[in-house]
Amino acid sequence: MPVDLGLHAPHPRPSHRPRLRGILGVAVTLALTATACGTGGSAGKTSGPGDAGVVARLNSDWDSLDPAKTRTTNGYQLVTALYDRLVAVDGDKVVPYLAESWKQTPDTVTLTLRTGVTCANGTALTPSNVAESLRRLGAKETAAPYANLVFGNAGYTVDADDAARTVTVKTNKPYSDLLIGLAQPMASIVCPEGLADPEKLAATPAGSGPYTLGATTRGASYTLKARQGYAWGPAGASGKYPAELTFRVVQNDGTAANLLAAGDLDLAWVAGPDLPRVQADKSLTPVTQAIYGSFFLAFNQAKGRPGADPGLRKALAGAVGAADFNQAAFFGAGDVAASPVSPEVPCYTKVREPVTTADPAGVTRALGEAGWNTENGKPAKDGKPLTLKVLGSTDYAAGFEYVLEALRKTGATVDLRLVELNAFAETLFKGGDWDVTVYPFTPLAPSLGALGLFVTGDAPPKGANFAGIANPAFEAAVAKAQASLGEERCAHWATAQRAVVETADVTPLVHLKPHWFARSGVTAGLAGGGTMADVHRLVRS
Amino acid sequence: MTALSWIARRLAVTAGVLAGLLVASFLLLHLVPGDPAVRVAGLNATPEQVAAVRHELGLDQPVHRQFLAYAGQVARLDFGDSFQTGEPVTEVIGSRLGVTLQLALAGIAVTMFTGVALGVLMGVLTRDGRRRGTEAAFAMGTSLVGAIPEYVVGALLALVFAVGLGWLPVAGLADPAGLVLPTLAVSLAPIAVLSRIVRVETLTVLATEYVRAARAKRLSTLRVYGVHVLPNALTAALTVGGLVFAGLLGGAVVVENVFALPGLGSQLVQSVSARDYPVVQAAILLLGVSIVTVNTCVEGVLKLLDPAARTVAA
Repeated sequence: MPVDLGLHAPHPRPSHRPRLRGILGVAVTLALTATACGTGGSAGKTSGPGDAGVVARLNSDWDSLDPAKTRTTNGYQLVTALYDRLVAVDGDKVVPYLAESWKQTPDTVTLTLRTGVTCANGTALTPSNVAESLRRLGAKETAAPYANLVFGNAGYTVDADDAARTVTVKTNKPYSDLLIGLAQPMASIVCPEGLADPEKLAATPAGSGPYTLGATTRGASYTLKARQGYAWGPAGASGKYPAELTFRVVQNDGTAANLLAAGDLDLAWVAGPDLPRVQADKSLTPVTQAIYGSFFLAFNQAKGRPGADPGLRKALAGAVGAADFNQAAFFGAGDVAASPVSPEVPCYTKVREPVTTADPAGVTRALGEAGWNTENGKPAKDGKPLTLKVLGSTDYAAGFEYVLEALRKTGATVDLRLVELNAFAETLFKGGDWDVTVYPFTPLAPSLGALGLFVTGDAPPKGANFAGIANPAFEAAVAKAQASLGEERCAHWATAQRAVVETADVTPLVHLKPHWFARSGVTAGLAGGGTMADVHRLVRS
Repeated sequence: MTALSWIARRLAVTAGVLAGLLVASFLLLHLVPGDPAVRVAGLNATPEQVAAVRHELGLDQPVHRQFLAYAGQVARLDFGDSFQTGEPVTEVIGSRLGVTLQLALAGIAVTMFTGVALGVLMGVLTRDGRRRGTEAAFAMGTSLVGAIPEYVVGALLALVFAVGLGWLPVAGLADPAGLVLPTLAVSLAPIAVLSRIVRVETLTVLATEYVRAARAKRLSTLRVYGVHVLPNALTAALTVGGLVFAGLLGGAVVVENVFALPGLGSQLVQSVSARDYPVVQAAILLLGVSIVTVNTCVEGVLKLLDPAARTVAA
């Protein structure tokens, strides 16, 4: 008989439990920790259910609170609550935020700012301040890791007119993704106080956002306090900011699921084997959105690598089933991909009939057509057998194990090297030893522009084109898309998507779908392609 | 050997170990693959930016000068700033140390008290081949508990006592009761091991002539067990306890993860993944010093408790 662990117990818990917890806590803890008195370091008190606050999960600790410097979604999560941006993304549209209106050409955006915006320290935020913040983001000395996602690679200028309340950003080459770039968290506006002492921004926010940083316990929890009088959130914002928003660092999915069930978390992203039991809890409201990008199969196309052969790439792309990868890596929680970007991204085009499961016969046929001898079951060309090195991240280890087995079924000799995520990125972007990988392309804005940064330009170590892709058709289409607006832009983006997939430079597999759950009484929306809670839509009723 | 010469010898050994740790932690930065300057500057940094960072970190200096500078910094307890967050390393480590100490002290207290008490009790109950059934149940129970991995124990405890019964917090230390389940998770397996060792030691001591003599003198039970049996059965318990405590100080990484505790172990894992060398160096040094200190203290206590050693020292 299965043991009822109370996972579906009604919430909140019966009133005797907190009392019992208190008694047990005092008695047992006194007995256990008499020796531990005075060691300090206990976690800060977090808002619990029933409070005016909301407690949300932070999957890991942040690396920096400086919008220009942070590299993690966890950092951006806090940044989005502490800082404002000029525009915001609502669905597939750009909507007003600090800017109430704008005019856009392919290389220039002129934004008219709203009045009455103040920084957390009370000073007014002027267009000149905004311009200074944007200049700092792309400045060489700032060394912001992702400034090019906002402004492109060709450089830019920013001008402000305080009297007219305008800020004008002009890129040195057409870059029609500029407006959407300004909605990204790294383009958050830093107040003058922070610009005067940028070193402090890593841990001391200086923004004009809806919250200020309150009690923090490093590595455990961060309590944000709602600002009184904050009335300049983006269009579509609820305007009902909880008095306290606490982000609690919970790295383990099982622990997050337990905290949700126990009522100690109001909002959490849960993945992995704990997902089904959380989905089964009818007291929780699911909130889901596919990421803007995809996990795509890529081959190292450097000279001498097997992936430099386009025929081989196309053949092996059929050896890896998207649905199978989805099952192995994400327990089937993602969507099989038909484009490098998800359907939520403007100008999305379905360019590939997804290979749900591998087709060994088709792969053998395709290898033969590409000039590979497969007669003895071991593909070879010019007498050289096919050997492949798969590079994988431990974050999605089972997915990479599947890729290993799928490629071995072609008869090739395949090895897998699993490394943690930082080492994975370092191997790719420093020109390491690999032939095949699945790259997690997860842009924070619904834009195709970010894809270009990884599949065009110099190969590592000089550039970020980690697979060494040279695809003139894609590059031409991207250049045209960045130099146009509206439907014309979308037509070029469609061409670009087709060009990069048809050559198997990029083989989209899965749009990961973060599954968030909100407790009863909490309404939530998502940002960053489902990777973050949207702090402007987080409401406790 | 006099107590003074014993202390001098221990200090010399400790100094040697610490010097080794200093060299090992310094070499860490130089032997691991990848350029630390690139790590600090970021993957998208220009060669000029990387060179500037290298100069700023002193990595363009000869190795012996870098080592001297590093040793000087360590002597001043200045470990620099975290590559990842820019915060002073002492702050990063300090913010995590309290949690680790709480868990380690609570864990060792529960382990020692329960393990020793259970071991002595089982030794007394099963002496001279008595209560075979109890002995078999004890052996089976401790084998089972000792074999279950910490993360399984932690997850089960959380599911039953926090989620199911709602008696204790699921995770975190916001509520003092939050320490109970992690303490149990880190203690159960060591209790099983320790109690088995203490039982065997107790049986050995109970079979000695001096215990028989004490009984023959009709000393009280409390005096027999408290004065003659327990101190002699504690030698192995203290040695094992020292090792368990050192392990807990090193970070109960899995348990910290399961109970969302921001301890030193989690920080070390996070810093290793992020190639945050200054934090890793400081953590390694701190843990090394802690382990050396604990081991020295255990040896000192054993020396005090061991009648033979006391006699020699005198």
